Amino acid sequence: MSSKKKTILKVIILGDSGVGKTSLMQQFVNRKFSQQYKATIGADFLTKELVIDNKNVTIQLWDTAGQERFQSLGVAFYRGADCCVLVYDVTNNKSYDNVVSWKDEFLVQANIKNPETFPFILIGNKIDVEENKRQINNKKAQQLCAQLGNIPYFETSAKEAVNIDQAFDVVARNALQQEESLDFGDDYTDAINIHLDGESSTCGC
Amino acid sequence: MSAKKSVASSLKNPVFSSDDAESRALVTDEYLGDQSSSSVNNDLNSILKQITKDSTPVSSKALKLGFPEEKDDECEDMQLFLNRRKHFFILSSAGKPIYSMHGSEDIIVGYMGLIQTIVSYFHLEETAEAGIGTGDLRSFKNGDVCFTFENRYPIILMGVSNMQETDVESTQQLDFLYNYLVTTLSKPHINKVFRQRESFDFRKLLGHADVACLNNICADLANNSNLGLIIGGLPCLKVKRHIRVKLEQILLRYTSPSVLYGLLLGPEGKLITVMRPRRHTLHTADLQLLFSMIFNTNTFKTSSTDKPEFQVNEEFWVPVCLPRFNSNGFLYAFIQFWQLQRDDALEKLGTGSADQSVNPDTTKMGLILLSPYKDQFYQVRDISKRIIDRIMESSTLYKELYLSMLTNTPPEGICPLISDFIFKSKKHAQYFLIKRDDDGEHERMLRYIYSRLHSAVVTNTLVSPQRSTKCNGENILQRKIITFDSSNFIKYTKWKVSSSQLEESFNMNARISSSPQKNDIVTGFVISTPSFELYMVRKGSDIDKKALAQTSKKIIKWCLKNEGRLFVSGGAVF
Repeated sequence: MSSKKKTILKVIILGDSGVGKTSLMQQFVNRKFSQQYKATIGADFLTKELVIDNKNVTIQLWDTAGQERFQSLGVAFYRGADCCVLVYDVTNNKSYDNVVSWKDEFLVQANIKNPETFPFILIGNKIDVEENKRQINNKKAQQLCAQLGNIPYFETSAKEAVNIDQAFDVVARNALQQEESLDFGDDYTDAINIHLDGESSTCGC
Repeated sequence: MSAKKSVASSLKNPVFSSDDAESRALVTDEYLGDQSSSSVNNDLNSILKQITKDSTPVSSKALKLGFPEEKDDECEDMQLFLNRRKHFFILSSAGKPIYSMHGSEDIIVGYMGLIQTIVSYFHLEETAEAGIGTGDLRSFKNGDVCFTFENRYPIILMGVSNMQETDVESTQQLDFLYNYLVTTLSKPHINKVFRQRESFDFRKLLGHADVACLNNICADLANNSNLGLIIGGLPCLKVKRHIRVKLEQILLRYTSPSVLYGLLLGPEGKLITVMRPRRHTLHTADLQLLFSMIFNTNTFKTSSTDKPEFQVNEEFWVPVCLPRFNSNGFLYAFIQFWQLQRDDALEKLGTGSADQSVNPDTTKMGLILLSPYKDQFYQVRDISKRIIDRIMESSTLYKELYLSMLTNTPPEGICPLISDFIFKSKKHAQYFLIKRDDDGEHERMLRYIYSRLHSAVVTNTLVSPQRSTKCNGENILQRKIITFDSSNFIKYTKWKVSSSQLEESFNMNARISSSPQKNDIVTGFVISTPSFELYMVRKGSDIDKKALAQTSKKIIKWCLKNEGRLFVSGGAVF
């Protein structure tokens, strides 16, 4: 592998079954939309390269299954995420109500050290539908964002490719900020010295 | 000099130890030496008789050697990526890439997530089913392709092999790669960075040299080019016994609290002798890692010329963690090479002037002194200087070492029918190699045959003795496995060489132009007993089974008789 490595950002997409998580990713990565609904089994992986402030980053998108029966993998999926995208369907009240529990679930499972600063983003999808079918308006969504700690909010349409790039640009920026927030000193060669006399610190043979 | 005595002392104090219980048992196993040579003869005779009884007809299949050399790449072509015969992936438990032998970052990032998911899924399933126990997915097979996994939280490794290896061999390879990471960084440091943040991008800690070394280790594993890793042992330089003793005396003169271990090396990492405290053995696996680091990278070589060779005027001071010795901390390795090929000195010795066409590295010696103390570079350097001076001022030592490096043939008549062989002493975890030819194609054939033969030995040790191995599309003329009990084992295989079978290679540069003669028959033979393994290869006309058996017997007897010359027994113990 080359030395000019790009920063890799692990991004998890969460939300109820059928809110359009896979469609959002497909639109973002492949510029494609399929009318057909296919439930995600376990997880799907997609990658997309972006340039953020002259920095090359690779977004590793973890598209998780919304269905309950796949939730046992939670810990494994969420481990080491750099950003979490919460998705609901603007025509589906229940998916909106569940956003809070998705977030809480993520924080518990991912064992996040600083929940206050960990980057979340809220996406309300399917804004292409007729106005009368919409159950959650922008104002209500903004209230939720404020309640969740002033997280960024985007209204998107995976079908008509509305606002997708803008949303993921913020995802990438916030993830990158999170990724760069900790630096490691080069102190590793100072690890334990092995002393000839110290029986316990030498080998057990 | 008494062979018996040296054996007895080495039994009490084995130089090397290995972690698996089997090898440890072998260390204390009764030695088939002088005192039991008649029983060795009887055993061999009865074993070899079995071969000559057999009369399987010869079929007309061919040995395929046309595989392209596997080399690391960052190929963006998905089809080429999927067609590779061998893959190694290293990732963090968060699913972020650490290393991949093949493929562009674009290709591998998705796979890393997938690998993490598969490994985690089985980890969870097993944990759920077994209550508390942790069981992990070890391997699975899809057709001829074998997938192996190592879950070493916070690091996951996966190997993919389409090379007819056993899963045991593939797992050992993953273990070696994992331990290389430990060697460069130590376990506490690896754990620390992931404890601070699970999403840590581990590639930040790997320098150029580390990645280059990983690439070379993977290439070695994929092309079977490191014999020590295949058959499990360290190569040894054949030196007269009293020369080894003399060198050990020199080493013992300079023992110091600053130095824990000392290693005297010949070309290609061949052991000459070791120095160690009575209480500690050296682990074969640790030394294989250390040597991989030294001999697999250009770190210790000159960069000015086209052909990098080992630096002779420079001293190196490198922190290394030896995982089997202690994975928690670093030892500090003082490494220095020097050239034996000095015209003036050689003329004085009457061996003529140095041959300029010889690769200078073939007559270089290396001294490695491992210190537990980070700040004792000057003390250790001083010790190194004295040791090297003592060795170089003795014309006997100088001459014998020089000759040992340049000549490596067994006495006449030992193996006229065989072109190449490896004799591995299990007790010493060392091997002695006779190679007749440096030609690339021949070398590739040898590697392939040695690895196939070793696979057979591994398979035999693992499963019930009577199990026959699957042919897996290998083009085999004849194959015969004879098992007497779980500990003694013979296998021989004949291949017909066909040069027209060269497969289309992905990398045209990797194609080998010269190829063996069309009608050559290649015979591979292995005999494995509790104390040794012998691998033999013959290329050319067909060989009579009786002659094969006779030859193996001669070689075994010769190697056992010359054990003191072929292997490092006790080393310099202080």
